[in-house]
Amino acid sequence: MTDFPSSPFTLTAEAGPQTVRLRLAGDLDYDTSERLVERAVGCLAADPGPRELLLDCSRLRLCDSMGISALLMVHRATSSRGVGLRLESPPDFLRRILEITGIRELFGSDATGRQSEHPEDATVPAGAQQQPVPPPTPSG
Amino acid sequence: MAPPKEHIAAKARRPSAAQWGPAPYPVIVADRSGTLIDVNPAAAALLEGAAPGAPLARAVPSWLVRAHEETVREAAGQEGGPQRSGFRGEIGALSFEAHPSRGLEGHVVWWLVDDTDRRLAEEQLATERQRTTFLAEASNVLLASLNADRCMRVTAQLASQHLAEAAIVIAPASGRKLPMAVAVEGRAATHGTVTADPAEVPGLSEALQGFPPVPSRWIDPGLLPTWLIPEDFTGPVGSAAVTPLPGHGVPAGVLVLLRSAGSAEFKEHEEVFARLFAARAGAALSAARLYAEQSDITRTLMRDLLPPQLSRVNGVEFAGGYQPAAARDRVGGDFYDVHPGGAPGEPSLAVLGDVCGKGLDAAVLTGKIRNTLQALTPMADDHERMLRLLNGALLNSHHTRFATLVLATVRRTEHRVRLRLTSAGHPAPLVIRNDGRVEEVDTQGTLVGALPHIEARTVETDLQPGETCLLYTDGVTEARGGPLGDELFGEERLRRALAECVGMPGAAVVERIQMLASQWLHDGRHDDMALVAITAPPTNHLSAVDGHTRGRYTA
Repeated sequence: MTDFPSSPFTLTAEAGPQTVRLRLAGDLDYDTSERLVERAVGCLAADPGPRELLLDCSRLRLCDSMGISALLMVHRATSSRGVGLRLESPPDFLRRILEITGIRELFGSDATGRQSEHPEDATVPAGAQQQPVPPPTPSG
Repeated sequence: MAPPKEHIAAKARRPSAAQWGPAPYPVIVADRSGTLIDVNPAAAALLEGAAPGAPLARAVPSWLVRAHEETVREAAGQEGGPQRSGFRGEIGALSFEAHPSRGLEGHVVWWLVDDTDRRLAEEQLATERQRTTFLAEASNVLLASLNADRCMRVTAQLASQHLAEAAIVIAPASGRKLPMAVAVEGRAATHGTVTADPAEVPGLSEALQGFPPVPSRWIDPGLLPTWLIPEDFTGPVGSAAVTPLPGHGVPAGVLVLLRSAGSAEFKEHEEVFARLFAARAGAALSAARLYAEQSDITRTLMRDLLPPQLSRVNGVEFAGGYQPAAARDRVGGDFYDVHPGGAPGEPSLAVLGDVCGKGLDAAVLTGKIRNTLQALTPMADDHERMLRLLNGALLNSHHTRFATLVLATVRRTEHRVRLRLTSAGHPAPLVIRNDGRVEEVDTQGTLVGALPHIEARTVETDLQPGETCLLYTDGVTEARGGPLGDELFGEERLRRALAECVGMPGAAVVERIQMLASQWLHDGRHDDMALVAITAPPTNHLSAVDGHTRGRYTA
């Protein structure tokens, strides 16, 4: 894949029976972070809502403080609905930011473990590693 | 069809006053020598002294006499050719077109057509066009600047050029002084303030208050106070008008127009024009003033948010350095502070942090954090508690803007400096030891401001005389550049640079790292960079320590 000086941020959603996976690609920053929050909240608002939200970060190129703020906002949205949240294949830089800022535990086991040699292989089947979560509660 | 032509020709040969007598236009007939032959009733009513036999020059204005002479000359030259027309002039207060036609024996029949109304309409149209052009130009000039003083001067100058001989723009008072711009006859305006009571000018106070909007009013020039009359205004004031300049919901000021006694008084249509101009000037002026107010507010806010100058506090050296991402926002997302302890024995609190986002939002959050921490300085020995209180103060239900920071409680005991360090989601501080090692302080914690629960681990360490602890923001390590242009400055490079700073004063360490990071940058663009160095001052007997210390810093 060619690296562009500034790669546009793209979001693609794949909805499974109980899981929604959002694929994040490009730069998650001041200009794009709002889109992630809107999209994630939109996915959670679906009826029936997912039990787990996966954020595939393998193609994320950059994440600044506003990007982290957006991830925290997504976490707030999922935890208030009792929905699981996990970052898949976070790149090293993101892993390091989560480590320093002390928030990696919020984003599931992938964010804490070693990064896989082949990020694509690290994608686990939906629900396979799902932690027991309370049933979705209607948001108030 | 010859007969009709002969018929007309026959008529022309037998002229009769009865033919044009009832014509709706004044008609006069004159012979080649300029003597009146015939005059119809309409012409007799118009022209005093016009009767058959009278010389033309005595009965009609000179322009018509010249027109007659010219027509006679031309008729002699070209028999039967078309008559020249297009003669025009005034008779009394009215304006006429004069159309000649040939009569018998070289007589000229003059038909006078009153075009006064058309002439007036044409003049008005030209005036309106001129005004529209002027208003468009005025808007361009006025909107070219957001400087309120300049706007006032331009308004006065334009008004004195197009509306009156002198124009004074008065802005709502700031305190007891009235800002005023004065221009005479289109010359460059002067600007200043005058301490005067607006109530001295009829209508001025009302217009300055602006609510309800008052119409322009003509005032008795005799009532004008001397401070309102420009020094270089020649002669007594003949007429004066006070026109409010309407702003965006607030009055932008007042335009006072003066004309000298010799010139025409203001007419009604001129007042409408003055109001149109005033509306444009007022809009420009109030936009400029709003902008000035806003930038004043920003400057005031920013002054409080600028990073402080650091120096020695209670026997400990503090040095700080800050480079905002963009030169124009002098305040960015990074901050630092040192709050001295109340007494020499009490610890000082140093803080360095990084707020997420940029611009005013980030600056406001920064201010909040700095104030809160300053208030919490008395509990500088319990960082966890401080951070929990700060976190609680920042938590907000509608966003997750957060901050990462390092707290350092600094206490000097004899020659050593005792540090308690806590990172709240921030890169860990680095300590430059006298033996050349660079240690990362093993403190870790959660960022503040976004999560209901946070954790933090405080670590203690001592600085020997000459040793420095460096707090920094990730703008330093994430400076992108280097030989390949896209490499991060990185923590490893920072450590190596610090290893070369052994024994340096804190200010020198800060400067060196700032310089290296700036040199590293590829295209000059970078995030905010903040650095604070906490240094145990070298003591005199340090120069004897193992030869590690560079003597030049211990004098």
